[in-house]
Amino acid sequence: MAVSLERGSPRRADRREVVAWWAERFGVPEEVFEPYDFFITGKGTVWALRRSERAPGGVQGLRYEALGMVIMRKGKLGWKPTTNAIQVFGRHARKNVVELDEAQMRAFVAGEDIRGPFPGLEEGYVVVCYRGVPLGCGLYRRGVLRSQVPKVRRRVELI
Amino acid sequence: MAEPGLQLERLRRYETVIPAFGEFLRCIARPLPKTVRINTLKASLEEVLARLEERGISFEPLGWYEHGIRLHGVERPGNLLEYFLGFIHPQEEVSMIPPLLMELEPGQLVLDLCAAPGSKATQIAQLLANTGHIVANDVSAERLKLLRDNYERLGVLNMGVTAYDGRRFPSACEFDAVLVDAPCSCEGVVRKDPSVLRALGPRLYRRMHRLQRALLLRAVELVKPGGIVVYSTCTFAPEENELVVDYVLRRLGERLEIEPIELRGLRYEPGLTEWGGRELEPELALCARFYPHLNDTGGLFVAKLRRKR
Repeated sequence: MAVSLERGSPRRADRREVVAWWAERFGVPEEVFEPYDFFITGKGTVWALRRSERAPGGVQGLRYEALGMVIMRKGKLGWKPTTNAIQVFGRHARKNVVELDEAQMRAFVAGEDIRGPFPGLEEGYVVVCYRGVPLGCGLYRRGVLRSQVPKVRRRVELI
Repeated sequence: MAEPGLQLERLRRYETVIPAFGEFLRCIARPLPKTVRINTLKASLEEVLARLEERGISFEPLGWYEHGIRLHGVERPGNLLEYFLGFIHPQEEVSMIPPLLMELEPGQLVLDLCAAPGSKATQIAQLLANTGHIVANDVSAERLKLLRDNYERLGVLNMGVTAYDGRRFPSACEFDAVLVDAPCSCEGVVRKDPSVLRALGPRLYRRMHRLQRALLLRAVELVKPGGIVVYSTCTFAPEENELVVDYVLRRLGERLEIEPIELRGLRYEPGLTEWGGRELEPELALCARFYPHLNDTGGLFVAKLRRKR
Protein backbone atom coordinates (compact mmCIF):
# COMPACT_ATOMS: atom_id res chain seq x y z
CA MET A 1 0.00 0.00 0.00
CA ALA A 2 1.33 3.39 -0.91
CA VAL A 3 1.50 5.94 1.82
CA SER A 4 1.46 9.60 1.02
CA LEU A 5 2.81 11.91 3.62
CA GLU A 6 2.22 15.50 2.75
CA ARG A 7 5.56 16.42 1.26
CA GLY A 8 7.04 19.66 0.02
CA SER A 9 9.37 21.86 1.99
CA PRO A 10 7.35 23.83 4.51
CA ARG A 11 7.20 27.59 4.36
CA ARG A 12 5.91 29.95 7.02
CA ALA A 13 2.15 30.35 7.01
CA ASP A 14 0.49 33.74 7.42
CA ARG A 15 0.26 33.76 11.18
CA ARG A 16 -2.33 36.54 11.34
CA GLU A 17 -4.65 34.71 8.96
CA VAL A 18 -4.49 31.46 10.98
CA VAL A 19 -5.03 33.10 14.36
CA ALA A 20 -7.75 35.40 13.01
CA TRP A 21 -9.67 32.47 11.55
CA TRP A 22 -9.78 30.55 14.86
CA ALA A 23 -10.78 33.76 16.67
CA GLU A 24 -13.47 34.62 14.14
CA ARG A 25 -15.00 31.15 13.81
CA PHE A 26 -14.64 29.82 17.37
CA GLY A 27 -13.65 32.78 19.50
CA VAL A 28 -10.34 31.13 20.45
CA PRO A 29 -8.20 33.85 22.10
CA GLU A 30 -5.13 34.87 20.12
CA GLU A 31 -2.73 34.13 23.01
CA VAL A 32 -3.62 30.42 22.89
CA PHE A 33 -1.51 30.18 19.73
CA GLU A 34 1.38 32.27 21.03
CA PRO A 35 3.75 29.27 21.70
CA TYR A 36 3.41 27.92 18.15
CA ASP A 37 4.84 28.57 14.70
CA PHE A 38 2.75 27.86 11.62
CA PHE A 39 3.90 26.30 8.38
CA ILE A 40 2.08 25.66 5.14
CA THR A 41 2.68 22.93 2.56
CA GLY A 42 1.12 22.03 -0.78
CA LYS A 43 -2.20 23.63 -1.63
CA GLY A 44 -3.00 24.84 1.83
CA THR A 45 -2.17 22.41 4.64
CA VAL A 46 -1.33 24.33 7.81
CA TRP A 47 0.87 22.80 10.53
CA ALA A 48 1.39 24.02 14.09
CA LEU A 49 4.78 23.40 15.73
CA ARG A 50 5.79 24.31 19.25
CA ARG A 51 8.41 27.07 19.03
CA SER A 52 11.77 25.90 20.39
CA GLU A 53 14.93 27.88 21.09
CA ARG A 54 17.04 24.79 20.42
CA ALA A 55 15.58 24.27 16.94
CA PRO A 56 13.65 27.29 15.65
CA GLY A 57 11.34 26.10 12.87
CA GLY A 58 12.76 22.59 13.27
CA VAL A 59 16.40 21.56 12.84
CA GLN A 60 17.91 23.42 9.89
CA GLY A 61 19.30 21.07 7.26
CA LEU A 62 16.89 18.17 7.91
CA ARG A 63 14.29 17.17 5.35
CA TYR A 64 11.05 16.79 7.27
CA GLU A 65 8.14 14.61 6.21
CA ALA A 66 5.93 16.22 8.83
CA LEU A 67 6.46 19.17 11.15
CA GLY A 68 4.10 19.36 14.10
CA MET A 69 0.33 18.83 13.80
CA VAL A 70 -1.88 19.53 10.79
CA ILE A 71 -4.44 21.99 12.20
CA MET A 72 -6.38 23.08 9.09
CA ARG A 73 -6.66 22.61 5.35
CA LYS A 74 -8.00 24.80 2.58
CA GLY A 75 -11.12 23.23 1.06
CA LYS A 76 -14.17 24.11 -1.00
CA LEU A 77 -15.83 25.70 2.01
CA GLY A 78 -12.74 27.66 3.04
CA TRP A 79 -10.54 26.63 5.96
CA LYS A 80 -11.40 23.30 7.55
CA PRO A 81 -10.02 22.53 11.01
CA THR A 82 -8.79 18.99 11.73
CA THR A 83 -10.31 16.81 14.42
CA ASN A 84 -6.87 16.58 16.05
CA ALA A 85 -6.62 20.38 16.26
CA ILE A 86 -10.18 20.67 17.62
CA GLN A 87 -9.29 18.18 20.37
CA VAL A 88 -6.37 20.43 21.41
CA PHE A 89 -7.55 23.99 20.72
CA GLY A 90 -11.33 23.43 20.78
CA ARG A 91 -11.45 23.65 24.56
CA HIS A 92 -10.80 27.40 24.18
CA ALA A 93 -13.72 27.84 21.76
CA ARG A 94 -16.49 30.25 22.82
CA LYS A 95 -18.87 29.88 19.88
CA ASN A 96 -19.98 27.36 17.28
CA VAL A 97 -19.63 24.69 19.91
CA VAL A 98 -22.22 21.91 20.15
CA GLU A 99 -22.70 19.53 23.06
CA LEU A 100 -23.96 16.02 22.26
CA ASP A 101 -25.75 13.42 24.37
CA GLU A 102 -24.32 9.92 24.65
CA ALA A 103 -26.15 8.37 21.70
CA GLN A 104 -25.22 11.33 19.51
CA MET A 105 -21.61 11.12 20.69
CA ARG A 106 -21.44 7.45 19.66
CA ALA A 107 -22.83 8.29 16.22
CA PHE A 108 -20.33 11.12 15.82
CA VAL A 109 -17.34 8.94 16.77
CA ALA A 110 -18.59 6.29 14.30
CA GLY A 111 -18.56 8.91 11.53
CA GLU A 112 -22.35 9.20 11.15
CA ASP A 113 -24.60 12.20 10.51
CA ILE A 114 -26.70 13.56 13.38
CA ARG A 115 -30.07 15.21 12.83
CA GLY A 116 -30.58 18.54 14.53
CA PRO A 117 -31.54 21.22 14.53
CA PHE A 118 -28.96 22.63 16.92
CA PRO A 119 -30.01 26.16 17.86
CA GLY A 120 -27.29 28.80 18.16
CA LEU A 121 -25.01 27.11 15.70
CA GLU A 122 -23.93 28.89 12.52
CA GLU A 123 -23.62 26.82 9.37
CA GLY A 124 -20.09 25.61 8.71
CA TYR A 125 -17.44 23.83 10.76
CA VAL A 126 -18.16 23.42 14.47
CA VAL A 127 -16.50 22.15 17.65
CA VAL A 128 -18.33 18.99 18.75
CA CYS A 129 -18.18 18.20 22.48
CA TYR A 130 -19.31 15.49 24.86
CA ARG A 131 -19.50 16.36 28.55
CA GLY A 132 -17.52 19.52 27.80
CA VAL A 133 -14.58 17.74 26.15
CA PRO A 134 -14.01 18.43 22.44
CA LEU A 135 -14.43 15.27 20.34
CA GLY A 136 -13.63 16.67 16.93
CA CYS A 137 -14.80 18.60 13.90
CA GLY A 138 -18.35 18.59 12.61
CA LEU A 139 -19.93 20.24 9.58
CA TYR A 140 -23.32 21.81 10.31
CA ARG A 141 -25.53 22.32 7.25
CA ARG A 142 -29.30 22.51 6.84
CA GLY A 143 -29.94 21.25 10.33
CA VAL A 144 -27.70 18.19 10.03
CA LEU A 145 -24.37 17.71 11.83
CA ARG A 146 -21.95 15.71 9.70
CA SER A 147 -19.08 14.01 11.49
CA GLN A 148 -15.72 15.00 9.99
CA VAL A 149 -13.79 12.42 12.00
CA PRO A 150 -11.22 10.84 9.65
CA LYS A 151 -11.81 7.15 8.79
CA VAL A 152 -8.72 5.99 10.68
CA ARG A 153 -10.02 7.69 13.86
CA ARG A 154 -13.62 6.42 13.72
CA ARG A 155 -14.83 3.80 16.17
CA VAL A 156 -17.98 1.76 15.74
CA GLU A 157 -17.57 -0.41 18.85
CA LEU A 158 -16.77 2.35 21.28
CA ILE A 159 -16.37 1.35 24.91
CA MET B 1 2.37 -23.86 10.95
CA ALA B 2 4.74 -25.87 13.14
CA GLU B 3 3.65 -26.75 16.66
CA PRO B 4 4.44 -23.98 19.15
CA GLY B 5 6.34 -26.49 21.29
CA LEU B 6 8.81 -27.09 18.51
CA GLN B 7 9.36 -23.38 18.01
CA LEU B 8 9.85 -22.73 21.72
CA GLU B 9 12.90 -24.95 21.36
CA ARG B 10 14.52 -22.00 19.63
CA LEU B 11 14.60 -20.18 22.98
CA ARG B 12 16.33 -23.15 24.65
CA ARG B 13 19.70 -21.39 24.02
CA TYR B 14 18.84 -19.07 26.92
CA GLU B 15 18.33 -21.88 29.43
CA THR B 16 21.60 -21.07 31.17
CA VAL B 17 21.12 -17.29 31.30
CA ILE B 18 17.42 -16.80 32.05
CA PRO B 19 16.65 -17.53 35.72
CA ALA B 20 13.77 -19.94 36.48
CA PHE B 21 13.66 -21.02 32.84
CA GLY B 22 10.65 -23.32 33.30
CA GLU B 23 8.66 -20.44 34.71
CA PHE B 24 9.82 -18.30 31.80
CA LEU B 25 8.49 -20.86 29.29
CA ARG B 26 5.13 -21.08 31.08
CA CYS B 27 4.85 -17.30 31.24
CA ILE B 28 5.43 -16.68 27.53
CA ALA B 29 2.57 -19.05 26.70
CA ARG B 30 0.18 -16.68 28.48
CA PRO B 31 -1.27 -13.54 26.88
CA LEU B 32 0.09 -10.13 27.93
CA PRO B 33 -1.78 -7.93 30.38
CA LYS B 34 -3.35 -4.87 28.70
CA THR B 35 -1.39 -1.82 29.78
CA VAL B 36 -1.81 1.80 28.72
CA ARG B 37 0.09 5.01 29.33
CA ILE B 38 -1.87 8.04 30.49
CA ASN B 39 -1.05 10.89 28.10
CA THR B 40 -0.85 14.11 30.09
CA LEU B 41 -0.56 16.37 27.03
CA LYS B 42 -4.36 16.61 26.67
CA ALA B 43 -5.67 16.10 30.21
CA SER B 44 -4.20 15.73 33.68
CA LEU B 45 -3.38 12.35 35.19
CA GLU B 46 -6.02 12.86 37.90
CA GLU B 47 -8.65 13.82 35.36
CA VAL B 48 -8.08 10.73 33.20
CA LEU B 49 -8.01 8.33 36.17
CA ALA B 50 -11.20 9.91 37.58
CA ARG B 51 -12.92 9.53 34.19
CA LEU B 52 -12.02 5.85 33.91
CA GLU B 53 -13.20 5.20 37.46
CA GLU B 54 -16.46 7.03 36.93
CA ARG B 55 -17.12 5.06 33.73
CA GLY B 56 -16.56 1.80 35.59
CA ILE B 57 -13.40 0.82 33.69
CA SER B 58 -11.43 -1.40 36.04
CA PHE B 59 -7.66 -0.79 36.29
CA GLU B 60 -4.69 -0.89 38.64
CA PRO B 61 -1.61 1.37 38.70
CA LEU B 62 1.70 -0.13 37.55
CA GLY B 63 3.27 0.91 40.83
CA TRP B 64 6.71 1.81 39.46
CA TYR B 65 5.46 4.46 36.97
CA GLU B 66 2.62 6.80 37.84
CA HIS B 67 1.53 7.26 34.22
CA GLY B 68 1.11 3.54 33.54
CA ILE B 69 -1.96 1.45 34.36
CA ARG B 70 -3.05 -2.13 33.76
CA LEU B 71 -6.62 -2.51 32.46
CA HIS B 72 -8.93 -5.33 33.53
CA GLY B 73 -11.66 -6.70 31.29
CA VAL B 74 -10.83 -4.48 28.32
CA GLU B 75 -9.85 -6.58 25.32
CA ARG B 76 -9.30 -3.65 22.95
CA PRO B 77 -8.12 -0.45 24.65
CA GLY B 78 -8.17 1.19 21.19
CA ASN B 79 -11.97 1.16 21.41
CA LEU B 80 -12.13 3.20 24.62
CA LEU B 81 -13.48 6.74 24.37
CA GLU B 82 -10.34 7.86 26.21
CA TYR B 83 -8.26 6.45 23.33
CA PHE B 84 -10.33 8.40 20.81
CA LEU B 85 -9.77 11.54 22.89
CA GLY B 86 -6.02 10.91 23.01
CA PHE B 87 -6.00 10.60 26.81
CA ILE B 88 -4.43 7.11 26.79
CA HIS B 89 -2.01 5.16 24.62
CA PRO B 90 -1.78 1.35 24.62
CA GLN B 91 1.85 0.57 25.41
CA GLU B 92 3.49 -2.56 26.72
CA GLU B 93 4.70 -2.11 30.29
CA VAL B 94 8.46 -2.53 29.73
CA SER B 95 8.26 -0.37 26.59
CA MET B 96 7.63 2.57 28.94
CA ILE B 97 11.13 2.16 30.44
CA PRO B 98 13.64 3.49 27.85
CA PRO B 99 12.35 7.11 27.64
CA LEU B 100 12.48 7.34 31.44
CA LEU B 101 16.24 6.65 31.39
CA MET B 102 17.05 9.58 29.09
CA GLU B 103 17.17 12.24 31.87
CA LEU B 104 14.82 14.42 29.82
CA GLU B 105 13.89 17.99 30.70
CA PRO B 106 11.51 20.47 29.08
CA GLY B 107 13.07 22.50 26.28
CA GLN B 108 15.49 19.82 25.10
CA LEU B 109 16.32 18.74 21.56
CA VAL B 110 15.85 14.97 21.29
CA LEU B 111 16.26 12.38 18.53
CA ASP B 112 14.36 9.10 18.34
CA LEU B 113 16.28 7.30 15.61
CA CYS B 114 13.87 4.37 15.03
CA ALA B 115 10.67 6.02 16.18
CA ALA B 116 7.71 4.33 14.47
CA PRO B 117 5.02 3.56 15.50
CA GLY B 118 5.73 6.19 18.13
CA SER B 119 4.89 4.86 21.61
CA LYS B 120 8.25 5.92 22.99
CA ALA B 121 8.49 9.10 20.87
CA THR B 122 5.14 10.31 22.22
CA GLN B 123 6.21 9.40 25.74
CA ILE B 124 9.31 11.57 25.16
CA ALA B 125 6.95 14.39 24.08
CA GLN B 126 5.10 13.93 27.36
CA LEU B 127 8.35 14.02 29.37
CA LEU B 128 9.26 17.29 27.58
CA ALA B 129 5.73 18.60 28.34
CA ASN B 130 5.27 19.40 24.63
CA THR B 131 8.22 21.84 24.65
CA GLY B 132 11.64 21.71 22.97
CA HIS B 133 11.82 19.67 19.79
CA ILE B 134 11.80 15.96 18.98
CA VAL B 135 12.99 14.56 15.68
CA ALA B 136 11.14 11.28 15.21
CA ASN B 137 12.93 9.35 12.49
CA ASP B 138 12.11 6.06 10.83
CA VAL B 139 13.19 4.55 7.54
CA SER B 140 9.81 2.92 6.84
CA ALA B 141 7.24 5.22 5.18
CA GLU B 142 4.41 2.87 6.04
CA ARG B 143 5.31 2.83 9.72
CA LEU B 144 5.71 6.62 9.69
CA LYS B 145 2.03 6.90 8.84
CA LEU B 146 1.23 5.07 12.10
CA LEU B 147 3.60 7.36 13.97
CA ARG B 148 1.84 10.44 12.63
CA ASP B 149 -1.61 9.07 13.44
CA ASN B 150 -0.45 8.36 16.97
CA TYR B 151 1.29 11.62 17.77
CA GLU B 152 -1.45 13.79 16.30
CA ARG B 153 -4.11 11.88 18.24
CA LEU B 154 -2.06 12.35 21.42
CA GLY B 155 -1.85 16.12 20.88
CA VAL B 156 1.92 16.21 20.36
CA LEU B 157 3.02 19.59 18.96
CA ASN B 158 6.80 19.50 19.46
CA MET B 159 7.62 16.76 16.97
CA GLY B 160 8.98 16.66 13.43
CA VAL B 161 9.19 13.50 11.35
CA THR B 162 12.09 12.47 9.13
CA ALA B 163 12.57 9.34 7.00
CA TYR B 164 16.32 8.80 6.88
CA ASP B 165 18.11 5.49 7.09
CA GLY B 166 19.19 5.84 10.72
CA ARG B 167 22.70 4.60 9.91
CA ARG B 168 23.16 7.69 7.75
CA PHE B 169 21.15 10.26 9.69
CA PRO B 170 22.71 13.63 8.76
CA SER B 171 24.86 15.66 11.15
CA ALA B 172 22.65 18.73 11.29
CA CYS B 173 22.87 19.48 15.02
CA GLU B 174 23.91 18.05 18.40
CA PHE B 175 21.05 16.43 20.28
CA ASP B 176 20.67 16.56 24.06
CA ALA B 177 19.64 12.90 24.08
CA VAL B 178 19.14 10.12 21.52
CA LEU B 179 17.02 6.97 21.72
CA VAL B 180 17.97 3.93 19.64
CA ASP B 181 15.06 1.54 20.08
CA ALA B 182 16.52 -0.73 17.45
CA PRO B 183 14.81 -3.07 15.01
CA CYS B 184 15.40 -6.58 16.35
CA SER B 185 14.34 -10.21 16.23
CA CYS B 186 11.53 -9.32 18.67
CA GLU B 187 11.77 -12.45 20.83
CA GLY B 188 10.36 -10.49 23.75
CA VAL B 189 7.14 -9.88 21.81
CA VAL B 190 6.40 -13.65 21.74
CA ARG B 191 3.46 -13.30 24.18
CA LYS B 192 1.72 -10.93 21.76
CA ASP B 193 2.87 -12.57 18.54
CA PRO B 194 4.18 -16.17 18.73
CA SER B 195 5.02 -16.08 15.02
CA VAL B 196 8.23 -14.15 15.84
CA LEU B 197 9.75 -17.52 16.78
CA ARG B 198 9.60 -18.77 13.21
CA ALA B 199 12.24 -16.38 11.85
CA LEU B 200 14.82 -16.94 14.61
CA GLY B 201 18.26 -18.27 13.82
CA PRO B 202 21.94 -17.31 13.46
CA ARG B 203 21.40 -15.49 10.17
CA LEU B 204 18.77 -13.18 11.60
CA TYR B 205 20.87 -12.50 14.70
CA ARG B 206 23.89 -11.67 12.53
CA ARG B 207 21.94 -9.38 10.20
CA MET B 208 20.31 -7.54 13.10
CA HIS B 209 23.62 -7.20 14.96
CA ARG B 210 25.22 -5.42 11.98
CA LEU B 211 22.30 -3.04 11.57
CA GLN B 212 22.06 -2.33 15.30
CA ARG B 213 25.73 -1.54 15.81
CA ALA B 214 25.69 0.84 12.82
CA LEU B 215 22.63 2.61 14.31
CA LEU B 216 24.23 2.89 17.75
CA LEU B 217 27.54 4.16 16.32
CA ARG B 218 25.62 6.85 14.43
CA ALA B 219 23.64 7.81 17.55
CA VAL B 220 26.86 8.41 19.49
CA GLU B 221 28.00 10.79 16.73
CA LEU B 222 24.72 12.70 16.95
CA VAL B 223 24.53 13.30 20.70
CA LYS B 224 26.22 16.29 22.34
CA PRO B 225 29.19 15.77 24.71
CA GLY B 226 27.70 14.85 28.08
CA GLY B 227 24.45 13.70 26.45
CA ILE B 228 22.67 10.37 26.91
CA VAL B 229 22.15 7.63 24.35
CA VAL B 230 19.70 4.92 25.39
CA TYR B 231 19.90 1.67 23.42
CA SER B 232 17.03 -0.80 23.68
CA THR B 233 15.60 -3.88 21.98
CA CYS B 234 12.73 -6.24 22.70
CA THR B 235 14.81 -9.38 22.23
CA PHE B 236 16.76 -11.73 24.48
CA ALA B 237 19.51 -12.44 21.92
CA PRO B 238 22.92 -11.35 23.29
CA GLU B 239 24.06 -10.87 19.67
CA GLU B 240 21.60 -7.98 19.44
CA ASN B 241 22.14 -6.65 22.93
CA GLU B 242 25.38 -6.92 24.89
CA LEU B 243 27.41 -7.80 21.78
CA VAL B 244 26.21 -4.60 20.08
CA VAL B 245 27.05 -2.43 23.09
CA ASP B 246 30.35 -4.29 23.53
CA TYR B 247 31.30 -3.57 19.91
CA VAL B 248 30.49 0.13 20.23
CA LEU B 249 32.34 0.43 23.55
CA ARG B 250 35.42 -1.19 22.02
CA ARG B 251 35.24 1.11 19.01
CA LEU B 252 34.44 4.35 20.85
CA GLY B 253 35.27 3.53 24.45
CA GLU B 254 37.39 6.64 24.90
CA ARG B 255 34.34 8.79 24.07
CA LEU B 256 31.66 6.80 25.80
CA GLU B 257 30.74 5.44 29.19
CA ILE B 258 28.07 3.06 30.28
CA GLU B 259 25.91 4.02 33.24
CA PRO B 260 23.86 1.90 35.62
CA ILE B 261 20.12 1.51 35.06
CA GLU B 262 18.33 2.89 38.09
CA LEU B 263 14.71 1.85 38.29
CA ARG B 264 12.70 1.06 41.41
CA GLY B 265 9.73 -1.26 41.61
CA LEU B 266 10.58 -3.65 38.74
CA ARG B 267 12.69 -6.81 38.82
CA TYR B 268 15.46 -7.20 36.27
CA GLU B 269 18.68 -9.04 35.63
CA PRO B 270 22.12 -7.55 34.87
CA GLY B 271 23.54 -7.58 31.34
CA LEU B 272 25.63 -10.62 30.34
CA THR B 273 29.42 -10.42 30.57
CA GLU B 274 30.00 -13.71 28.80
CA TRP B 275 28.25 -15.42 25.87
CA GLY B 276 29.13 -18.38 23.73
CA GLY B 277 32.47 -18.79 25.51
CA ARG B 278 33.41 -15.20 24.80
CA GLU B 279 34.33 -12.68 27.49
CA LEU B 280 32.65 -9.27 27.15
CA GLU B 281 33.44 -5.90 28.73
CA PRO B 282 32.71 -6.33 32.49
CA GLU B 283 30.75 -3.07 32.69
CA LEU B 284 28.08 -4.63 30.46
CA ALA B 285 26.64 -5.92 33.71
CA LEU B 286 25.30 -2.36 34.09
CA CYS B 287 22.78 -3.01 31.29
CA ALA B 288 19.37 -4.39 32.25
CA ARG B 289 17.45 -7.45 31.05
CA PHE B 290 13.72 -7.56 31.71
CA TYR B 291 12.30 -11.06 31.33
CA PRO B 292 8.55 -11.69 30.94
CA HIS B 293 8.14 -13.86 34.07
CA LEU B 294 9.87 -11.39 36.40
CA ASN B 295 7.13 -8.72 36.19
CA ASP B 296 4.46 -10.35 33.95
CA THR B 297 5.44 -8.22 30.93
CA GLY B 298 7.09 -8.53 27.53
CA GLY B 299 10.88 -8.66 27.19
CA LEU B 300 13.32 -5.75 27.08
CA PHE B 301 17.04 -5.11 26.99
CA VAL B 302 18.28 -1.62 27.74
CA ALA B 303 21.66 0.12 28.00
CA LYS B 304 22.31 3.69 29.09
CA LEU B 305 25.38 5.35 27.56
CA ARG B 306 26.81 8.81 28.10
CA ARG B 307 29.09 10.59 25.67
CA LYS B 308 32.07 11.90 27.61
CA ARG B 309 32.62 15.65 27.76
